[in-house]
Amino acid sequence: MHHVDSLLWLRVLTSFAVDANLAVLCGLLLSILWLRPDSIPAASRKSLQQPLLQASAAILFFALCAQLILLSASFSGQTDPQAIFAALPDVLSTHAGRILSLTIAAALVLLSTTLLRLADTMRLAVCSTSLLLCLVLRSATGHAATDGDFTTSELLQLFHLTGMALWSGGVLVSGLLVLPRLSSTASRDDLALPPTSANEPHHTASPARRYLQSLSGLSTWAVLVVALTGLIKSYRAAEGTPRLLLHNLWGYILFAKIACVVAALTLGALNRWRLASAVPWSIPTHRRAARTLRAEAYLMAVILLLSAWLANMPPPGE
Amino acid sequence: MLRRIFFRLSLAAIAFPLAVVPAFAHSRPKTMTPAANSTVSAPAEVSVFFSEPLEPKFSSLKLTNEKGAVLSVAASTMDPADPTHLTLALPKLAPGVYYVHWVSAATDGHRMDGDYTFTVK
Repeated sequence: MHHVDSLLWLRVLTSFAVDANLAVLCGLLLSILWLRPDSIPAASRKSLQQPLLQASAAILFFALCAQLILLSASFSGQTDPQAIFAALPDVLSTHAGRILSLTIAAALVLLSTTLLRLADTMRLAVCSTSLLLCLVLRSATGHAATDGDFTTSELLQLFHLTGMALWSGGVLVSGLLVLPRLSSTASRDDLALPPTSANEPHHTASPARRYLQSLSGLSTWAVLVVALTGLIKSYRAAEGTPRLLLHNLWGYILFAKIACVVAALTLGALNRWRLASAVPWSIPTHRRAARTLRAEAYLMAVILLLSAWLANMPPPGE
Repeated sequence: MLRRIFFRLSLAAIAFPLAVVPAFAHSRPKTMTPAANSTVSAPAEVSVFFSEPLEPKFSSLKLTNEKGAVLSVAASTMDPADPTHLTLALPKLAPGVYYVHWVSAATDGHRMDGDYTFTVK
């Protein structure tokens, strides 16, 4: 018995590209719509929105198209391009093919919306709806779809994927894009604005601090949703024995991923502690928080890559 | 010290479900009739139940003899009531060793293949 895995690395890379860009799109829309956008200077906000939304939507669209071709290669067991394209009509009639083609259509709407000249409100509404549709369709693939569509497994998977996309996307976009922008534009005055009311402590007026507080609150909820759905999923799927995870590549990758998740949670907790403490939000504190968030963002990228690798390998015992 | 251990254990407890993988389905044979490596009277068909539902267009069974000649004439069929079940109608088999080659494509496109033998007495 063997798996047809001659295209494993391509499958891992396209899965990573899809998941990472879904997360980045979630993070971008979050930073625009929810995480106190006023704290980002107008010029930076504009340059953050358009080109990055376009680039991310384009990568998502092309990565999904590549996944369709790889799905055809996987179904047909062929590596010859002509045979792969010949099998496409049959592949599109399968459950996985139908779901993937619908996801590609949703991603195309998303990409078109970012490219067209539309009012900001309209653009963001269509982008958010298309992105949600992509997440709903993505939750209807893999093991979650084994029992059919519109099942509890698919609903759990939707909550799990959405929570993961919000958490990783929020951290990636904030750590690598938003906070560095706030750092570069924030002057000493920005970081130590006077209190707006007599009751407000001096340090709460910092835009960076407000932004981080919003992100921290959102991440905590997202982590709870991911942890809860993950717990239920692992309880439902627990057929094998933990012993199977030892001494094989799948188990090693899983342990590496768990280590990265623990490290990311620790860094998140560290920033949360900084926000909760009564220490004034000085420039050094801001820089430390930005560095911590950037490290967490790099860890998120590694977690997404390891997830893509694991998802494309048969678990031990299969 | 205890607080630190509790903190680390809590992190590990949260991290495990966070690291749960949206795994892809891999469908492998669970029950075969005739069974692998068995010796039987000439069967009329081969029947294989897989661990996951299959895509019928890309899943199949094929019978060959020891020299590799394909003996099955008809294509394998999927049980309409059970998408994990494939059957292959067989011609009359003479005594000897036979190979069943199977290809399984799970509903998400993950493909596996393999073979097993049985002997007709």
